[in-house]
Amino acid sequence: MTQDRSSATEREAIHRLVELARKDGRPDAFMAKRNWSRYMLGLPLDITADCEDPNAVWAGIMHNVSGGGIGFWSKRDVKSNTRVFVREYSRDGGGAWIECRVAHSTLGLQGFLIGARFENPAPREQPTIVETPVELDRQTAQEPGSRALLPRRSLSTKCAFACATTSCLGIVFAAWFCHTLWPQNWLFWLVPISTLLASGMGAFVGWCIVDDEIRFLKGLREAVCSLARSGGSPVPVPETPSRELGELRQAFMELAAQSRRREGEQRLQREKLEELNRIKSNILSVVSHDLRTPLTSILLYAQMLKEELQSLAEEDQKRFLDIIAGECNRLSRLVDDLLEVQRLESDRIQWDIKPQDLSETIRTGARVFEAMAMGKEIAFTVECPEPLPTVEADSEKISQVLSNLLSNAMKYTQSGGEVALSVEVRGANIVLCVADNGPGIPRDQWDVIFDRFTQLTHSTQSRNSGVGLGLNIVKRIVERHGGAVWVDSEVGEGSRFFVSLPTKVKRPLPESDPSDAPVGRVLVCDADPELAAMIAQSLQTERYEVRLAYSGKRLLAQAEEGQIDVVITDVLLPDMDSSELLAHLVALPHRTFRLIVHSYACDTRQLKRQGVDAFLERPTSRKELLQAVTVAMQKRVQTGLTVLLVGRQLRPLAPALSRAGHLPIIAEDFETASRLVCDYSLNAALIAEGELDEQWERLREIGIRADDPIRLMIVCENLQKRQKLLAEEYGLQTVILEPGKESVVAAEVSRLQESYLERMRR
Amino acid sequence: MKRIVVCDDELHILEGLRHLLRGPDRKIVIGHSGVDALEQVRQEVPDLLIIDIMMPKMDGIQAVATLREQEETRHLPIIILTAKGHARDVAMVQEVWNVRVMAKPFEPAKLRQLVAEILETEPCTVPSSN
Repeated sequence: MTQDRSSATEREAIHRLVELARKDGRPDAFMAKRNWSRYMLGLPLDITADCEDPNAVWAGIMHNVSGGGIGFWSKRDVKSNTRVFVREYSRDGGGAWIECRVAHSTLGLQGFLIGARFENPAPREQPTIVETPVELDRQTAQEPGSRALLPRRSLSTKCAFACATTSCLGIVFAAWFCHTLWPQNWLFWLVPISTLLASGMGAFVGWCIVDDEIRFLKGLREAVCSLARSGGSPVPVPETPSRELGELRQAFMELAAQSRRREGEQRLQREKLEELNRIKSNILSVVSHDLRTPLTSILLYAQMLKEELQSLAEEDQKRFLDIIAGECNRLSRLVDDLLEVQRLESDRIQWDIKPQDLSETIRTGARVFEAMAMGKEIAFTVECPEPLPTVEADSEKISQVLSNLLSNAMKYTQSGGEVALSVEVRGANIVLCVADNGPGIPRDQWDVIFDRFTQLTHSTQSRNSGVGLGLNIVKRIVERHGGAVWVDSEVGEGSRFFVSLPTKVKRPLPESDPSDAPVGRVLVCDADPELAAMIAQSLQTERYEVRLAYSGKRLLAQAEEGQIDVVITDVLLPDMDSSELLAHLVALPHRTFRLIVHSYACDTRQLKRQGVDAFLERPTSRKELLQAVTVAMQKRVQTGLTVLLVGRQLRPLAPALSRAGHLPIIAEDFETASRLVCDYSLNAALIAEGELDEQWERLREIGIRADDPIRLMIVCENLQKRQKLLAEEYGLQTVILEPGKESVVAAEVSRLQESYLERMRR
Repeated sequence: MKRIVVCDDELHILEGLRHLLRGPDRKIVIGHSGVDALEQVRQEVPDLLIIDIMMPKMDGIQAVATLREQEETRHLPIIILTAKGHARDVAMVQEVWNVRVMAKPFEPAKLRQLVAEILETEPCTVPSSN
């Protein structure tokens, strides 16, 4: 029994549960807290105690076992019937392992095990208490009282025995019958021989009958073991002819799907936490860097002034003081910006958003910069039609946006250059544009400059841009208005910053709550910055967190950083061709994202072969975009097949399929269905029979056009001859769906998945 | 004449360092990036290189790594100035490349002292205030 446990298993169990155990407090608290009820029968405990004196802990254990610590025994007052066996071993300088076994005579319970491990010297950490998994179940514990014949024999032996016994009894009974009728018949002597033969045959037949079940149980055991080892690939459970075992099998499949899904979710959670932690330390290091740099200048010049007060020329002294003042200003601006970003981030700002004409705000905001432009000899033009369509906005924040953009433009434009502010109405948006002819920003940095701190961590490309937090503040404010901001620039020619604000907000702006995690992270890449910004805007209103890239290089860099759920990319990028880009993306190590290609018409089969999950043809509607992203998000945690349901009446199938780990996509008609088949990477399509009549040719089209020949199944209420014929002709599978029996179809799909797995293994 | 190359992307710091370290027998050359540093060193191996870590184009770490790989600059005295307060990184850099590291903001007098020690000249080329 438990003593036979190998120490390796013991150690493994301890390691596995050590994390769990850290939550528990002191050993005695643990004893009191645990529900030592009858279900705990046979539960081994492993207590690692932070105690130098083994005897003290030992006393504690004894107290808990024999005293009031164990609820079950004390309540029933059967304490006197409890015997405690104590074993102690491996007592050396490093520690000791004590184990005791408790047996209860009247209840026939035994196998209760407590162990205590002492580390000497005591570990500094909290004492850890480890609970190893149940080793003895009730059945085994009560074995002496078991009523079954042939306990501990295998099922096949039992069956063989049963059949043999029945056959023997039959023969004996027949012999007795014959003997009574014809007492002197010589045939009577055949009885012992035929009994022998019959029992042999009975045993053989019995063994044959249960052979399938045995094989099934073995397969199931393997599958359970693989499930228990988290991360193990799913092992298919063999088919079984018998109904009860079939139900067991299905229940297990659902359990497995569920557990895999949960595992996926947990992994996501963990990744998010790690990401947060990473961001936190990044911020700390960057902020400290940015504070230190001006401080260094201040300290340097102040010290030099102090030391050389006498010898320095007056103009040098003045210059030094100017530098110190300038650096102090820089510090204070930095602190202001940091606070502003922090306030925007935690949404502690009072927003005063109301419908208004922004032209006045824009003009006033621009006027402030006229003087600066004049001083620097920059030609500054403002072009703003009046009146502008009404926009829901906070005018103060919008003027802050304008001021940040204009001051950047002024800062980076040389004397004699040009800065232009223009406003125009494009569709349902008003678009502000601030153009300068400064040094320009390379395409690879178009996304980076809007980030909060990242531009500084990418040290090699950052400092020349030196935009600081201003643009991040712009981005946050504009996004809060449901708008978008982007940049278009040519190195050496200048930059144009765009801000687009929607004139009609589709829905009231969500009251953003900082504790709300985003639904998912999407990385959008497009050569056209405006289009990328528009996609981002659509996704952001649905609470997705969006990152942007404008070149293949940046796309790969950002995707490699991880923490991306979905990538939406154009394949016509300036710096990389389509197949190179896709090959790189798909081959990224630790790739966790799903891939959507958003481009002009191209060979979708080829794309799917390259590992693309969905294709969106331009121009894409907002609805299609969101559908594709939603499907891609679900695909991340889904463990089964992606199944297309054609026909409204199949809607009730969706929940059953999801429960079994599959991803159902519903198409109401054939029109939608054939588009989805073309654009999405699907494994199977279920078609309602009602949809079929007129659509055989279309159906064939679906089957043919799909890249990986997807499996088609017809779902019907009862199988008619015509359908049978058609199904045969087209090689389709038919499934019967009775109302309330959706899980049967789900099981059919799971079976299909197994055949896929099987094929992949081969 | 001792030749010192100073590289930092902050103009004020660069100017300040030039002022701080100036002396009759010293020639101070400045650069704005890691690439500048390598270029200056390539032209003529200086007696001392003072370099920042976070710079555009090529950062200080890369520049120093490149220099240490070359035979003629393997033992070039280098002082790294850094506002990156990662104690572990700094310790590693010091160990591996045999360089001196000074955290920003630094004490100007200490830097002057260190430079003087390295160049083995009199520490004070400029009269101190008292």
